[in-house]
Amino acid sequence: MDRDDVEKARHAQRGAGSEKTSDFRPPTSDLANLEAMLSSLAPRAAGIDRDRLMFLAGQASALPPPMGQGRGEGEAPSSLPLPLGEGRGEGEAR
Amino acid sequence: MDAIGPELLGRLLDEHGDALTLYARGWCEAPEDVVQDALVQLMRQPRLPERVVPWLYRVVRNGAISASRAVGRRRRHEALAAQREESWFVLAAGERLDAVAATRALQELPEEQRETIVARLWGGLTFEDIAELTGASSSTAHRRYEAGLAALRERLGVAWIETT
Repeated sequence: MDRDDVEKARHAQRGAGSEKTSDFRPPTSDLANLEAMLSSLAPRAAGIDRDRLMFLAGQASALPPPMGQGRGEGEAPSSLPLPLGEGRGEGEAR
Repeated sequence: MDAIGPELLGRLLDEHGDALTLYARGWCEAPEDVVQDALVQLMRQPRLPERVVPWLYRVVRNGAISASRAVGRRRRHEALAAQREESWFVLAAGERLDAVAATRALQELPEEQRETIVARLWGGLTFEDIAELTGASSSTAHRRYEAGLAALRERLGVAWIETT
């Protein structure tokens, strides 16, 4: 894989979502190659039932917002970071 | 700013559903349910979050970790062992990286490294986003990413990497 391929893979990666940015400079060309090869793998399809999602979303939008979420995104308890658990330290393989 | 409606929801599902599900797979055996719940939660927000994709990753992360904690440790390990038999990625002929080997290598990474790599490579999140997501600093997120990539390179073997 040459530099053009890496750039193409990065471009494709950035183009796949509206909020993607490129703020990482890989330390070695080896890791850059691996990064490009990994990102070329497409995640398996989610298998979410679109019709059911729309039905549930329609129901949810008709409900009042959850307690404590009246003023904006940062207040949603479900959006605050949860610590990883089970006492596994960093660097310890699963 | 887009209104929260079916059109936006459909677009988010199309553009980010697969990557969000991949992200949730690292913790739980029903990642689709977690992603669906996150999208439904989005509909309940009084306003569209300013940065909706990182917001979704946060909600999915919390949902997946909670789902993981809700099942017993033994069942969790059984489910993760079963996952090892299947690929997290589309199996396509001609790929230069074996999808099953990549899945296994990702599964064997420490959680912090795996989630950083998935959020970055397939989610397209910035290191600042990932830092906020995980409650770490940007430099820690960056370090986890590099360490994870190095570990993957080791596990996948140099034979997988073309250096020319």
